[in-house]
Amino acid sequence: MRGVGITRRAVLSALPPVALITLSPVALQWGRSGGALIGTPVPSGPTPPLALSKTDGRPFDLAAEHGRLVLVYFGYTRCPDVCPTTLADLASALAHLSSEEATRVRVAFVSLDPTADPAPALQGYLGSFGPSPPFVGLTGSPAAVARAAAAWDVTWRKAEGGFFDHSSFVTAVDPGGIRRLRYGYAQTQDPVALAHDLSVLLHDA
Amino acid sequence: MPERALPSLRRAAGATGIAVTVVASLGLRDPLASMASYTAALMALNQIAPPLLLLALDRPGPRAARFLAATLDPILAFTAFCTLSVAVSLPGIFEPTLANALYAAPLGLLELGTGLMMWAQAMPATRQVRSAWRVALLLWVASVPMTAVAVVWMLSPDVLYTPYLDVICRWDVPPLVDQKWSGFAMFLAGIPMQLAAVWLLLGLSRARRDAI
Repeated sequence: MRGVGITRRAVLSALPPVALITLSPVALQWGRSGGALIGTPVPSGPTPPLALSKTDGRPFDLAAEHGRLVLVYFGYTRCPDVCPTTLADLASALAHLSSEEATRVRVAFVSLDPTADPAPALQGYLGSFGPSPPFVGLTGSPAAVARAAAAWDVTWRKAEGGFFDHSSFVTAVDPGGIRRLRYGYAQTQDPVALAHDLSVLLHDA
Repeated sequence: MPERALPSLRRAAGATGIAVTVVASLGLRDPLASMASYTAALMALNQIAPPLLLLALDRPGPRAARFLAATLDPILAFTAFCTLSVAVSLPGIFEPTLANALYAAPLGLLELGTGLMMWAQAMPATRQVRSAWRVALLLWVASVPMTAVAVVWMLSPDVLYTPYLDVICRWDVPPLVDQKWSGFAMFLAGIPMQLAAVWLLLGLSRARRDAI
């Protein structure tokens, strides 16, 4: 009897690791196809408005961008590393699209610091990453920018020396105006994979 | 003296464990926390609070002992602990749906739970395996994945923690430096479990009990 008890216990003890090993090919990305999207799906829901001003003073309305893929990113021009790296990554990905695809993409960069980022400075900053369009600088009153940031789930706060701490992710709004995918800092580092995602979104809608 | 001192020490350990749990849980709620402070909060729930909370426990009665024997099976604890350590630290290796589900769960609670399961193997009131060397081996091997991940984070030339741990744009800490500090925090967090393994292996817990 004692032997049976020990055996049963041994079997029960062995179950968790055996189950883990058995399920690992499913759980890990080993079987994942190469064509999978690298962006993180955004939970379904209405796309928030993004009604701000472009650097030429004309209003920007997300609804008017129907038919285009819009990549929305909140940052500020004096950002030391993450914002410029992200914008450079987006520029690299755009270079991997066909010219027809690239004309249907907009990168909407919203300045979290509209006071320190006047329209000409914002335009000059974005010019170092690519022409406008596709790079579009958006600004507005501090209250309007704060409202937009909150609506797009961006958290931010002023830090020392006029710098900011802020959430850093790019949200892809498909040509149908639906928020589809989100890209964190390291997800934008592979331009080919990112371009593949953008191409799929352009042709999906 | 020791007879009276032990209950008060246990109470102090329990109170400290509760305080660590509360402070770490609050730390997880800051959306602009650096990855290093986020990792430190998770590690506090996983490696600092559990031994303190378990130290506060008295020896269980027979019914509680049977319940603990079922829930604190060493292999189950080991599997859960190691799986969570790797899953939370390197979510990118998992199938995205699974990783999304994991990160939608209360991670702090999971870290606390698996930490309690693992540390319970070493604590006098909840220990399931009597053989000291076996428990020491279990603890030491369990600490290996965490230490390995810590070393990867400290040495990697690329930022790995995404998309499930948001990289925050911090004005004072570049993401790669933040990742290195996170690895260091995790590396430090693994040391108590390794020391506990050495403590058990050298028979220091028995020597102390004999002295009392």
